Amino acid sequence: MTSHTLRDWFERALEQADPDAWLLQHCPDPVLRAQVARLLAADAAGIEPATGGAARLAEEIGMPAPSAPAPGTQIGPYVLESLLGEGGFARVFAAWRDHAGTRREVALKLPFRTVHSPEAQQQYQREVRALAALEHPNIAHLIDAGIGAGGQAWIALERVRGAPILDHAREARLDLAARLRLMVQVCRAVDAAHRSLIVHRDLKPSNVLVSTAGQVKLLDFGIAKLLQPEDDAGQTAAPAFTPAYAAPEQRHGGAVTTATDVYALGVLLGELVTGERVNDGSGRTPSSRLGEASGGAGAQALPPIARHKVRGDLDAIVMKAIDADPAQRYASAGALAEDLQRLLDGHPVRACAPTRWYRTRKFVARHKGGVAVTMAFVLAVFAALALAVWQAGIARAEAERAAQQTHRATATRDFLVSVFEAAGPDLPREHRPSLEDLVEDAGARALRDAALTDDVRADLLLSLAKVSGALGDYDREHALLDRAETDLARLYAPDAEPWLRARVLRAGAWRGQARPEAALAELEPLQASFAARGRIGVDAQIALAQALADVGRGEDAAAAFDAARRLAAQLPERADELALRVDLLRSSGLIDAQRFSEGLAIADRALADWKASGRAPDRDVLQLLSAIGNAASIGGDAPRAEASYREAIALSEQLYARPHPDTAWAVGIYGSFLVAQGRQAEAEPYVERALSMRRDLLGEAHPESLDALAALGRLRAGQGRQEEALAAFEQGVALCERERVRQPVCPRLLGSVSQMQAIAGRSEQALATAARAVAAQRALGGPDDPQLLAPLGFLARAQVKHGDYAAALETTDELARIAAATGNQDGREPHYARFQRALALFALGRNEETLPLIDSVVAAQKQRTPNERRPLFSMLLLQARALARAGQRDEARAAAREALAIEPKPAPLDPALLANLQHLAREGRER
Amino acid sequence: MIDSADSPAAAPAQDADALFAQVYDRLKALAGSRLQRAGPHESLDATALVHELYLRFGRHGEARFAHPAQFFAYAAKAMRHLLGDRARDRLRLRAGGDWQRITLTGTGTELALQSAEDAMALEQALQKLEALDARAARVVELRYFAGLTLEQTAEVLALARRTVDRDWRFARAFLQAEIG
Repeated sequence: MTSHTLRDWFERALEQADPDAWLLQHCPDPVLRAQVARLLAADAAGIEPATGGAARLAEEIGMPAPSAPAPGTQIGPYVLESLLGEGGFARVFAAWRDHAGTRREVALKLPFRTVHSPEAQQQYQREVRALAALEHPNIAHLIDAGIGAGGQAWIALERVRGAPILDHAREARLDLAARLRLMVQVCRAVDAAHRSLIVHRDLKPSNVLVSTAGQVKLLDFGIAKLLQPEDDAGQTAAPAFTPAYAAPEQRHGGAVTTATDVYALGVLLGELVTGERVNDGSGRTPSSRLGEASGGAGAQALPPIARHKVRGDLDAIVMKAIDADPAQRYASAGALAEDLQRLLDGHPVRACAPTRWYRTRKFVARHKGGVAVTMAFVLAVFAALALAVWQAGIARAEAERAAQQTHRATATRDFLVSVFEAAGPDLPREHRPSLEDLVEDAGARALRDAALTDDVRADLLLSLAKVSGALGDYDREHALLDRAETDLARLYAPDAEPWLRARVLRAGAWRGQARPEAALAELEPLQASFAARGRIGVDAQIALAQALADVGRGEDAAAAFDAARRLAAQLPERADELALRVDLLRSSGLIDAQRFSEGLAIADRALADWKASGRAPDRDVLQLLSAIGNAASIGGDAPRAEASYREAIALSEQLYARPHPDTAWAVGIYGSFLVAQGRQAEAEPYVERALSMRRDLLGEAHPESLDALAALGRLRAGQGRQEEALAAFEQGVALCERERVRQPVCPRLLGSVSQMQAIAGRSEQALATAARAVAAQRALGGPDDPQLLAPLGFLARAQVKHGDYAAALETTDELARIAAATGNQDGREPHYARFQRALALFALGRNEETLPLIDSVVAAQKQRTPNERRPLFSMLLLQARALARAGQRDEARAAAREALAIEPKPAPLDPALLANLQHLAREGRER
Repeated sequence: MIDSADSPAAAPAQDADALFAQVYDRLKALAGSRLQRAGPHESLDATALVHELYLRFGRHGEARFAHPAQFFAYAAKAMRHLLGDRARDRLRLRAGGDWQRITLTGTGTELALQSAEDAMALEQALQKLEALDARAARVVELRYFAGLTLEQTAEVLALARRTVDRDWRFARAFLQAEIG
């Protein structure tokens, strides 16, 4: 029989109408015939083995543990002697190596996990190095570790001889005080490890040995992390810990922190005192587990402790340590040790003050969703901060002793480490404190950290103030500056460089709070000194120029910017870069002041300078391109704006390999531009990409993410998807409120909600929302803020819709006043406000005022935005009615016909109104 | 070891056995970690596993495969060995003494043993098929162990789809008849 015979018979039989009969007739071999018949039956049954079913089988079979190596096996430099023990994750052997002729004994741990990929091996080695650096008399030392053939990891640990703490307490018949003294040793050792940022993760009685001399030795510090299997991507697959002593967050897969060890210490303390594990879910206090006179009996039991010795303070200590909420536990193992020591010394134990951890968590809980700053960003900020402090220290300490410099650097580093610890690097990203939290915490720490000298503290406070300002938290910036200045006053003369730094920061804060006159007051008196101050002098000069532009002193601002350029050019280093920066800020300043042509001219020059310089593209150029795009867009030069925006996107993609806020910004602004151009289909991919990028990079409540959300709303509105538009805007408003965002985007979102409500015919709501938008914007930018134009426009429109014509006139008056005061008469908002005003005047029967106004509005509309047909339709409708009312029938007819030519059947329009319009087109008068 | 899937001329100098060992090791590690992570509703999916492995090999450039086809042929072989090894070990240690305590995604000892026996029966039937019709056995490997579709299998083996369909039909009937 060959394979072909069986298969051929099978396949030929399949082709027959009656395979069985055919086989009987044609296949003479009965054995082969029976085989083919079985195949046919199996085929007819049609059972299909699962594709990839092998893996399911493998899964059901489970995993083999690696077989135990025999004594005498060599692993790394060690020879195995005997098996000491075996747990769920590893075996431990007594082993030894020859060390310069002497026999060194170790406990050799062989994890079941294997370590294969290069990343996993590197990670493993990193952790091993960290653990090997941990040296403490009460902690068994990690001597050596490695990875052998087949990814077999091994860890050589100091071999400790002693008894587990519970056995020791029992055998030595320790009294309560002796047991507590042991625990103080244990807690202090754990605290020392925590200070090296190492968490034990698996504290339990068998890991706490006591030598016959009464010295505590903790085993396996940090080893649990090495034992837990990880997949190749570095994700923890199955955490290694002992459930009975594990804190709730550990059992539920939460973040493992120093608080996790504090919990285990609490359980251990409870067990050492009562003989029972106190975390059995009963919530019973340790003392309630003890008899009045004698506790448990029998050979296994610990010598009993009288209940009254435990009730009260010791109960409180244990219950605090094992609180289910990590934030409510002792802030550190050291704090637990101190409380135990106080108890031993007869001092009152600490009250349960809320810890920093707790406050931070509370803060994060309040700002959930807004906590989006990645650790990388935080690291970058604080690394820069540390460097600045370090350099400042060196520069000033020329005459100081080197030792003092070292001290300063160390103090700064320690301080930063303490801030990082607070950042909870073990926490999942979404639970980490935000940069704002960190700054707050860091500020508080800087004030109370006794290790910092005054000058270092002042430096830190100034840097933190700067970070606060960059985050838009100007109140905190002021507070930090106030505090820094008390140090500065002690340390430096009033014209010293640190003072100027503080002034520049202060001015920035005032500008951020829309109080440019206060910023001017900070800087203008010092103007003469800027030239001698190098880099900070240029910053001061720029800040002064910006403040001058803010208060409308355009000429002075231009002169100040020129001065800034000259100062920058005199700097020994990076003068060109700084000059470009000055030009960038100058053009942005002018563009912000709505002086578009001047701003554009400077931007153009800067761009040309950059291209001529042959310098590689950088962030400043990117910002410049965006500024040009904005200026051109607002100034009505759409082709130029579009070219700049596209160039900015291309440049940012060239600059940043990964998603970056700058790219997200460039993409989003182009999307918004396209929406404004009514090019919805083209806009959609940009708008959506910007929103998702910004949310990923910055968090959903970041002003730029909210901007992107607003753009999405406008896109949807432009697509006629009103419900979705309203939903987007409302989501934005909700985020503003939930995260207490105080940024211009929030009033704008309110305005948009109002607009959509108006479109949906919910005029009552629209009116209320518009009023909220105006109030929010006023609170943000004061009574003369040009940003008020938009919400006032919405308010006017809502008032007209609602029939509050007199109020609408007041609103448009206010709008016109602000527009005139800020040089915005030709902007979009005043234009539409004039239309609302015309509507109100018409409704109030003031037709003679209406007519010239609506004529000018229609003319302006045709000239401004020929693409926006819908507003023109409404304007023409009003014009026709006003003309008809004035008896100018021919003109009225012409206007009505023009309107109907735009939209013969405007969808959302009241049918009666349409009929009226058609009537107007025929008759030149209203029905 | 692999006959029809490779194009030996294009294969790099790397020793085929070493390549296979590498795939096998990585697959074992991957399967192990997946198994430990998998919750009761999360089943180990061979397709995902093999493709994940493929991506990783690609990313790290650890092993050079002349063609993706070669990789899948190796991966299928490796999966087959993995299952065979594991089933053999499991049956050898019936009592479960040294079997790792890490959760078996909720399956009991009985199911584990039954599955191990199934896997061994499959392996024996597959060896018989291999003797009869090696190409059909390759098809089974790629389908059952690497989780490829018939289309992908045809591509990997550089065969017409119709040929693979016929191979699969025969192999399926054969294995079904053998295992019962």
